[in-house]
Amino acid sequence: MSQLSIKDISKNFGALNVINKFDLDLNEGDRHAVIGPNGAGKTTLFNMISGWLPPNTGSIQIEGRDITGLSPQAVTQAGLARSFQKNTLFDGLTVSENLRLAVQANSKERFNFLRSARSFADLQDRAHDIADQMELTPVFDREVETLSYGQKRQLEVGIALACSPKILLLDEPAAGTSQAERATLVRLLTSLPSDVTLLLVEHDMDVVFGVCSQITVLNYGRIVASGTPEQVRQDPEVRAAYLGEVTATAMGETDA
Amino acid sequence: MTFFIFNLVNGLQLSMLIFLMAVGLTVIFGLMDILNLAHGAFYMVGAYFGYVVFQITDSFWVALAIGPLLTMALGFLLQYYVLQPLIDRGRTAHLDMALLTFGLLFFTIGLIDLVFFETLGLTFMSIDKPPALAGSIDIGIMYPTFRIFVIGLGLGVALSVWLLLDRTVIGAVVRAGVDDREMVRAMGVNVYLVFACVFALGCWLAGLAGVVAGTGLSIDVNMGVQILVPTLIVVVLGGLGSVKGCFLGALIYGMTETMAQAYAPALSLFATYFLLAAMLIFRPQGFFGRAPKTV
Amino acid sequence: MEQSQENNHRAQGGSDVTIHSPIAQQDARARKTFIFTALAGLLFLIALPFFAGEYHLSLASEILIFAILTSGMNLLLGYTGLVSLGHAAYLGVGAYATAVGTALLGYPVWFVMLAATFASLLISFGIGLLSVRTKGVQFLLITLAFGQMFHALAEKTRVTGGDDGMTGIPRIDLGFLGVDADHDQVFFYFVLACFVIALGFLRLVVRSPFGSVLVGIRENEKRMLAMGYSTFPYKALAFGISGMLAGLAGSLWVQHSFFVNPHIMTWQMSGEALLMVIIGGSKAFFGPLLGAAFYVLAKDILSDITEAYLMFFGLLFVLVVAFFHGGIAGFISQIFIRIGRSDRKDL
Repeated sequence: MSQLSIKDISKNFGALNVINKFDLDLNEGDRHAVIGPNGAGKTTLFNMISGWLPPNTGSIQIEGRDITGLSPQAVTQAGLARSFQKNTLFDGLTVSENLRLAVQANSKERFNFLRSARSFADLQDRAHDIADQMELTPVFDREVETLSYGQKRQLEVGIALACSPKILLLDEPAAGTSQAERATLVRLLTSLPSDVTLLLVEHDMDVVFGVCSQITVLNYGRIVASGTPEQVRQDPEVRAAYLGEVTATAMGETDA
Repeated sequence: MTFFIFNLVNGLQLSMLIFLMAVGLTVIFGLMDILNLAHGAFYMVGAYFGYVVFQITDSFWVALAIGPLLTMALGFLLQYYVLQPLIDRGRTAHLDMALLTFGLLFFTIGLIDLVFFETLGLTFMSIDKPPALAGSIDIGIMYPTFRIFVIGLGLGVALSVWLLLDRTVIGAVVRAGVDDREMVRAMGVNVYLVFACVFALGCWLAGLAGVVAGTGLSIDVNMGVQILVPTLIVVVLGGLGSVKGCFLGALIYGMTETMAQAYAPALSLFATYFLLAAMLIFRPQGFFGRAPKTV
Repeated sequence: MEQSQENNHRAQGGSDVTIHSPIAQQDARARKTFIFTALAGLLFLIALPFFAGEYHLSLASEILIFAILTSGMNLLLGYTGLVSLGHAAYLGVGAYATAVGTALLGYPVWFVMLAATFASLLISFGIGLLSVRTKGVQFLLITLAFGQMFHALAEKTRVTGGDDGMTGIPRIDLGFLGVDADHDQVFFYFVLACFVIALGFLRLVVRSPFGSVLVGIRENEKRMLAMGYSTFPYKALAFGISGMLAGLAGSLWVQHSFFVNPHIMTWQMSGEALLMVIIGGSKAFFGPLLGAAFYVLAKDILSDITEAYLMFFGLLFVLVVAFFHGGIAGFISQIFIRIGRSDRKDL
């Protein structure tokens, strides 16, 4: 069975239809991106999958278990973690403390109210591992508000990863990053463990093509095309949706 | 039957008094996101100042006219020169503003105590009812004229506020501001002035309520605190920011409180707090307030 | 793979990195400062009855009792970010439960104290379950509402003396130690012992994983939910613990003053407790203690000049909320930073 199964999801806000009959099946280890112009409904889709918004119709299942309409914390406990488009970090705490809280979330020690938190070496170690993976070790003990924007985006991904998810949902991880920061991000994402399934919403095509093997294109809340980057590039409706010339450049067609 | 009518009208009178207090508070919150716990202080200051004016002029009507003007001026100055700059500075969150106004309430209580009780040695103070309103009038039963006046005043204010918000340009600006502050700002309206005026109006109403409450009843330092809890209950019931909700909430509160006291005194102290807690648990936005954000 | 080699290395010297990194050194220094301050303070308090008169000793007991209340409140306020205007209710529960249990029902005080503290825990946890569904301003109002209900209950209940309250409440029987708690010096040591136990317990909670979750909730509740934490039980438990400590404070208070009346549950009382927490400093562990000390001492000094101490406190409260978020504790640590020692914010 597929790891993440989204069937026939729709969302309406009053008379406005934002997502219309969205389907997606992901297998373990897939690297899938959802792209589309602004307002296509990508974040709404993510909010529905991760429990922040209930869908009007359809179902979402993780390995056969129905998670439709569950609360965000229940969805995370079921194995799906997400990052946010706007940094949602603990600004006043250090990177180490941020990661430790994430790691602690599925530890049975999280209700322990008598032992010192710092004495749990295994939690500390795992936090360190994630920091290493996200190339954040040099700033491990620095407060988040002192980090660069790119580093914060890396931490945003790191926190989601620290929850040991089966499925990772990343909402525009490269939003607002510089070219160098984007390159780092691509490097980090491609080196994610192969048993983690990745679903990405992105605007930046370098990141999409660098990381994902499958793309779904969303426009006005419905799927316009789905397939490999090559297939999607050729699709006329996709090109129309992205408005001609700009699309051609974005899709890498105008390079010699 | 007489008992019932008497309490019914009493309830209406209480409703109107609380409405005068609550309507200012709710619009201030809806527009500026400030829970002005100092509102009780303005009520108290209105009563005390009204008393001073009354002592000087010996006229209830002059006290009624002038008393609220002081609270209005103080309110304007407070909002424009103290509260708004603090918010703009960015380091004071909205909850902090509630706490800050709470501190001001305590400060005012202490100040009034110092001036009137310690320095001037006054204990029992009251404004006398004017001769025109001092008697009773036959409304089926004999009922104090002054209380009818309060009901009339409250209804008159309700109507005026509604007209102001619904039928004037400035009212439209305020309603738009309650709905979307940034947009109003972007439209070039001097929101700071609007905020200060609305705040001042709220304080004027509180001062008015204070003068009215201080007439025939005793004025003391605890009155600001005593009126605040019913006011907050009404504001929450109606929905923070909604005037019609406030009116409805005031009616429900006034009637519940009065009828409970009359018919089930043991319950009366719980009835209204129970309403408040129930509302906050099951429908935190009140009758007509905005639904809470999902995320 | 590189990763597993590093893992092995770290598994062997597990916390090596945490001990030697600069922040860890700062941490260790902060801990030493904390322990030093705490011990110094404790020694001072132990020595106090030897040079302080009865009146000042009584003030000191008051300070410690309020400090238990305010430190408990700060678990909810400073650490979890929830501002309650109704905690006097649990102070009252502890006080009245003690009064009823001893003066009316005749049970031994030590037993009643435990029962009263436990009752406060249960009741405040129950109310917490209802209240923490809201936050911010709404939470403020709902705690106020419940506080008012308890006050009304106390005023109306004839068995507890209604508005007049109850008198003649006995102090704990320390006869088995050969001392009489009716002597203010003895009672002071008893209060000190309770204070040490209460704050010791709080210290454990605050440094535990549970405590770290509370901080996370305060800093960014949305993120906590996204990480998989059910924030609701944590907030309710924090509410319960803070109510429990308020109950303990109430129980001690009623023994200290030998009487209780509904005034202990007014929202003025809740407000003054809030004043203490915030003026003392909600971001530091000993901030609430400083706030309690400041409040009791300032009120004592001011009462020679004026009864209107609220004016002074109200103004100070406004200034702290507007400009000095760290309160007195924050002010003190700023001084130390300027002297050259860095005290990292204790979380």
